[in-house]
Formats: sequence, structure tokens, C-alpha cells
Amino acid sequence: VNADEPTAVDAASESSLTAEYRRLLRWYPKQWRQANEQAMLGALLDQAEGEGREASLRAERTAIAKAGLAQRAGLRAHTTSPLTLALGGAGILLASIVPFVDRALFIFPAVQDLNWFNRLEQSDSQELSAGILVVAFALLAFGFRAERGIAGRSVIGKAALILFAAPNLLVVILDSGPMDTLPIDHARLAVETAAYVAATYGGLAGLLVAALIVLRAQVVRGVARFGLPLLALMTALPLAIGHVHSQVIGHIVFWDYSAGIVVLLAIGVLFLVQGASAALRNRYPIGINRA
Amino acid sequence: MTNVELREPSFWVLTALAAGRSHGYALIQETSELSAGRVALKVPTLYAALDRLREQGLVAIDGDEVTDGRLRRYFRLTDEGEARLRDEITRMEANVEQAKARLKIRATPSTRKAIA
Repeated sequence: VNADEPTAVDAASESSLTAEYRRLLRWYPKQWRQANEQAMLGALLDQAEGEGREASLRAERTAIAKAGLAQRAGLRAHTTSPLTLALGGAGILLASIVPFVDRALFIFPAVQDLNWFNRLEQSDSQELSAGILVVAFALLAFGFRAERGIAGRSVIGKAALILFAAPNLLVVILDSGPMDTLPIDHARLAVETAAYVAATYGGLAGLLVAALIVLRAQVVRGVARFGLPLLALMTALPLAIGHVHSQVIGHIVFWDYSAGIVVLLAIGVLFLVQGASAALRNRYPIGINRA
Repeated sequence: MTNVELREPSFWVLTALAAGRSHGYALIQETSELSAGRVALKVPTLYAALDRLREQGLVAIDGDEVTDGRLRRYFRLTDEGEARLRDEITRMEANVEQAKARLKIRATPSTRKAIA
């Protein structure tokens, strides 16, 4: 049986053809269907009637599937946020590099003669790094200008991204000694302990939630979308193992902060590359842009 | 955008809409007639072209009407679309003139000999 051949006409067939076209139109994204399904269905039925058909054609089914998938791809491409990813990635990269620059100053003392580096050295690079990280994650959460953030529309996702980045700043501020002048009493210890616990577990909870929501939102694509889940896994696993088997394998080093910075640095590079390449593609499309 | 080449289906859709508003199936029939049967659009292809043309501001939705229980969406050419179609015609005319001029050179026996 040739699938392109129309079947026999009967009174009930129009509704079955309508149902068939409706099923086929599911290739299109929901957002598109809400706006266009009825109009396109009407045109499909008009054409079938004009050609005296009571069934869809194979070529028509293929065309619907191709156009529907293209719409989905286009929708995804449209929701990516090139400048948000590029600027957020650059921020993460900078935040990851600042501590290394700080270390490098000890290796190359001559560099300290330069004013810019001197200023950087005099300021606390950890505070600077944590501050940049908060700005970068705020940008990634809320999006640059009208662009969508990497957690999509999820308010929880946005909050989680901030929750991950902000406690680091709190910890480095506490480490820098603003409470040193206060007497060591129960109140001070309680505040410091609460801050460190919030930074460790609040930050981790934020990272875990953010990683899942960012993965679902599909604003970040390719290898870059696995960056935050990898960081979450690398952070959560040693903590979990440490709690369960601390007596047995407590001495095994799964994680240190330099590993975290390397992963964070890689995330920054991936976001930056993805965002910048998408922004360049939008600005300078390859080949002839045909209507 | 003025030097961007239009695909043939888009060109015929704009041409069909230049005569007035039209809906999906009518546009398919008109583009087929206007192109002497060369362009046989399927509904998904037509809607993909209309989506692109709408994004570029060349066509606009001109209302929905229900006929025999079916929704018909009407489209119209925008001012920008008309200007774009005129640009395309100018570009095509220039191409035709160039091609004709070259063919004239080729048609002269002396020039044909010289080329050989």
C-alpha cells in the first residue's frame, strides 16, 4: 500500500484526519502550537480537501516533522543567552584566576613593582575573587539586559545560584578578621560557626539545586551544561563519604580547593566560549542570510 | 537587509500578498500558479516561510476567520515587505540585464570567434 495514496472517502474520515493532523502537529513545540495550531490545522484540512484526500501524505508527514523539529531547535537557539553566558563565564574565569595571580606575585616578586599588581596584592584577592563570583552568578541567574538567565524562568533556580555564590563572600569577609577586635565569647563563636555551616551546606544545597535546574532549563548547552553538576558532585561526594566513613577513609583526599577552582575555571571558559561564539554567530551569520 | 537574497518560495509568497491579504491554502495555490507550478508548497513549509517573513517584519497577521468550522489565518504584506519585494525585483532585473548583455556578446559571430 502506497502511504501517499488517499484512502476512501467517508463521512467520519474528516474527524479522523483532523485527529491525525493534530497528532502530527505535536512535532512542534507547545508554545508554537498554542499560537498557530488551529490556523495550520485549518490550512492542512483545506489542502487535503482541495486535493480530494482524506488522509495525510507521507511527504506531508515528513515535512511536518522536519518543520516541527526545526521550530524546536530554533526555540532553543532563541532562548540561549549569549551575552549572559559570555559575561558570566568571563566573571567566573576572572574570579578563578585572581587567587592564582595573587600566588604568582610571590613567585615573581619583580612584578610587585607594577602599580596595578601592587594594588591587587594590597587588596585581599580572596575577597575580590568571591565578590566577582557573586556578581558573575547574579548575572547568570537574572540574565544580561533582556536575556534569560541560565536557570530559565525558575525563581528557585535563580535563588539557588545566588545561594551557591554568596556564602563564599561571607566566609572570606569573616576570614579577613572584622570580628577579631571582638572578645572570643560564645556569641562570636556561634556567629562564626553559623556562617561557616551556612557557607558549606547552604552553598552546597544551592549548587545541587542550581545544577539540576540549569540542566533542565537548556539555556546552557553542550559540554558546558555538565559543569555545575560536576562541581556539585565533586563537592557533595567527599562530604557525604566523609560523614559516613570518616574513620576509614578520612585520610583519602578526594577534594581540595584547588580542584574546585580548576572546575570553576573550566566552567567559566566553557560558558565564555559558548556565549561569545553564539554572540558572534548572531552578529556575523555565516553564509548568505536568506529569507 | 536590503542585499539579502530571497528564496523562491518567499519571493512568491510576498508577490502573492502584494495583491492583497490571503490565507494559508489560498497562498499555496497562488504561489503555485504564479510560479507556473515550479513552487509546490506544503503547509508546514509555507508556515515556516511565513514565520521567517514575520520575524523580519515583511508580512503580518491580518486576522483570523472561521469558515466551515476551520480557522483561516490571513496574512498581509507590510510596508517593509513591499519595499523588500521592490528591492528584490530591482536586483533580479539587474541580474537579467547583465545576463542579456553577456549573451549578446556571445551571439555575435565575430566575438564568438574571438573567444574561441
